[in-house]
Amino acid sequence: MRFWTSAISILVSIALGACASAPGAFVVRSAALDAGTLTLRCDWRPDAQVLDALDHGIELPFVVTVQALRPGDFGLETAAQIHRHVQLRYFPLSRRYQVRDAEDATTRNYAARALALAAMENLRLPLPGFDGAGATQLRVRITLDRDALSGALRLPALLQSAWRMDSGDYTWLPRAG
Amino acid sequence: MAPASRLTRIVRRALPVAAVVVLLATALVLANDAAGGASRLGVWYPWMLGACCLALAVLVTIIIQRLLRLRRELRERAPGARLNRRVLAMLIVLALPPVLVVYGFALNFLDATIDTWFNVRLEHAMDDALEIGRVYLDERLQTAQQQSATLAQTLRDSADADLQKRLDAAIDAQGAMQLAVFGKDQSVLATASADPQLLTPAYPDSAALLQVQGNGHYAAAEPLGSRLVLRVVDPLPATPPGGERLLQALYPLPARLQALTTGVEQANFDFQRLKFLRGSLKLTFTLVLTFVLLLSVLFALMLAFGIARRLTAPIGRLAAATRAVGAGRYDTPLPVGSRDELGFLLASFNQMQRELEQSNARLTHSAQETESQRAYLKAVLERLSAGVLGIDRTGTLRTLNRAAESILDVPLARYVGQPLSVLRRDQPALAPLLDPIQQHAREGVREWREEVVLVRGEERRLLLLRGAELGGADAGSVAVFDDLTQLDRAQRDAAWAEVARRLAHEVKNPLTPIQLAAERLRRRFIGRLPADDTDVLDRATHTIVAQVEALKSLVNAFGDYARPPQIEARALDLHALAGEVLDLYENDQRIQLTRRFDAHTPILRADAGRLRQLLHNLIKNALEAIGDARKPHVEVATRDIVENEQKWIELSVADNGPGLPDGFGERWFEPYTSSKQRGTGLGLAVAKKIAEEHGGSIRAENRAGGGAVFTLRLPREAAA
Repeated sequence: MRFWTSAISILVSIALGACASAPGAFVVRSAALDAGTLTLRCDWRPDAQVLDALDHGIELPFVVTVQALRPGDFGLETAAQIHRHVQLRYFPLSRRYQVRDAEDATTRNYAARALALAAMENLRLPLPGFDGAGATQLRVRITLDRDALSGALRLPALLQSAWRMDSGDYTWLPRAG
Repeated sequence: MAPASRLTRIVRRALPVAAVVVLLATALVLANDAAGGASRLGVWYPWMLGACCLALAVLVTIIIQRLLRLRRELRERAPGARLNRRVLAMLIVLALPPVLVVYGFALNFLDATIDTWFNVRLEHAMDDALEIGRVYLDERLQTAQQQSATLAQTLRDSADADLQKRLDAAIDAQGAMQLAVFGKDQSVLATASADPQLLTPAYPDSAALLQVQGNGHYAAAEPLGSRLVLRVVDPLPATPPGGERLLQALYPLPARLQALTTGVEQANFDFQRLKFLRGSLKLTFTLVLTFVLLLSVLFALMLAFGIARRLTAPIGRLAAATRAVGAGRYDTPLPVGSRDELGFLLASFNQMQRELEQSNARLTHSAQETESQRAYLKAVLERLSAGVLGIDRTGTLRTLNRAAESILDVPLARYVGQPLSVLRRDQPALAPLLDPIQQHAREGVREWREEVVLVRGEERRLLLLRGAELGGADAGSVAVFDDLTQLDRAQRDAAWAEVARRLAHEVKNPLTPIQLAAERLRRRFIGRLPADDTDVLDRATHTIVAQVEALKSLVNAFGDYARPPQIEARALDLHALAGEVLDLYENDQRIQLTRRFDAHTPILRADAGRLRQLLHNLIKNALEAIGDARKPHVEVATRDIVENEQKWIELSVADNGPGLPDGFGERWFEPYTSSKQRGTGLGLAVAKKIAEEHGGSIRAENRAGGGAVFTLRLPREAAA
């Protein structure tokens, strides 16, 4: 009986979660590209379920997509694009939260989760090989990389709104010169 | 088959299969991914789930469609529909409970299995192991901190330029992976590394710097790649004030301990991750099992539909074919698709259908022959002048012909199927005919023959009745009767004619000598004899002459009656001819004549003289019948009639006399039959003879207002 109750509640929550939206889970406040380094200022208020997953050792993979846009025949077209993978993870033995730039292999460890979350809100990502010269606009987007989630979490992440972490497109004008 | 319908059929067949494949593949992928790690198919999850929903919708739609079709067939009472429903229900009852039971058990088993992964003792053990690791790390950190503090003391007075040399010398002694001294501006003043991957030292983050400022040092175990290292940061007191530097040392864990701590951390990490993912795992596997359940249920339903239809389709066809055979159609051979009992049944049905068809053909042919024979027999019967009555063994009237009704003048057709006793009860006048038939039938006489006389009112009919038993046990008997009335009358007429002829011949010859002799006696002896004798002679001879004249008249009348029919027929106007005859009586003040001729001018083909004689006879008969009691009133009328598509003209002579005598009948038209004292008894006989010579007839009946009417019926001229 208990199982059926929980199963039904899960299914109902899935259904409700599928119907609900998750606005503002990840919001880019500002972005700047200086000397090949992207500086992002974000607001991120992850759901308690996500934080619980983080504390249970679930790695939270994010994809930062940066695009350089320039005018084309049919409006703006993508001149250059780069993906950066940032991972947030908790190590229970050392009690450290780690923010890792997968491409750069650089890591930063934090003794508190709040510090790690703050680090995620202030990202500095080197973009080697990204050519934004000549772009009239730059666009950035941060999303949870559901494909990189643990297998058992992939389906709930698709259905539950707590796991819908997508900043949407943030566009800004590059500095002249 | 049209390409469009073929395509539709293919799509209809492929859709369920595609839906099943999609559901199965999705379930497999989900199950595999839930148990495994990263999947390249993750990006297709939304599409896969959408395809699953679509596949489920397709299967549900197909099943609903088939259910609706079954319901329609049940309402229309289509052959095999009820059996289809029964088989379908049976298959569903057989298939669904096991699937549902397996589903329930699988879910419970899954739930219980996942829950068994996480027991309290195991969790405590894992936590304890982690705590041990942390304690050990703390000990190692204290050691590393002491080493770093010692090194910091030795470096505090070193100039920036000497730092590199001092670090190079100290790194091996310290057993560190990396030693680095940072200036106030976060610049690297010196660094030494025992690991080629750690050539570039990272400046301590703000949290570490805060701890250095607060505690005077920073020491922590930190993950570095796949390893765990001990990071210690100590400030180097500045020789010149304001030039504080930081010493950062990274110490490795011993290789054995590194592996152990990594293992402990990894195990704890896996345990905690699984603990968190327990709900997700259950959800994923529940979803997978639900997909499999729906797949199984829907597929079982579809299979049940298919199997039920496949099983009942031959039976439905058999029922339809049976109905067709029942309706007399034998053109529905059933395909024998299998060699099982059903195939044997269908083959047997086909065989039976062929035999029935042949038998029916023979029966039809036989029925046609019988019908032909019956029609032939009926035609023969209808054309027989003799009446025929067919009676079965129970005495029920079965067959008759038109002549029977005509002769008996009774609508016998309504008595067909009823016992003869009913006919006898309703028509007692037919008793002389029916009684012998019933009697001989009862007695079982094979053949018999009788003459019977039917008397109905004034009419008397003489019938020659013959009967015979028909062959067969229950065939009954047949009675055939001929109307001998006309023949009998003709024979009697012929006899009378012969009598008249002989009488005329034998009597007429001596009459003239008698008359001459009487007249000679008168001439010779009247006046010569005494007065008394003369008077006697005169009266005697006068009587002789008068009687001879009367005898001559009688003989002439006989002669007329006996004269063979030699008419000289020509077209004549009956009104004109009747008018001529009536004109002779018109001046007689004692008679009142009334003419009521039809507006039509009736043209006849007749002998005017004979017809005139006939009219005289009828008028004289009327006048004689009236007698002297009252003033004679004779009314002569004509009218056209059509009877049995034959056109006739009727001329009636009505009088105001006493009417016909009792028992007046056909015999009154025979010679020497008269109710009048002065009649010869030949007037009506001659009139009848003339009428018959012209193909007509004469009849007599009483008038409603008194008196009699004699009606002459003659055929009209065809061209008229």
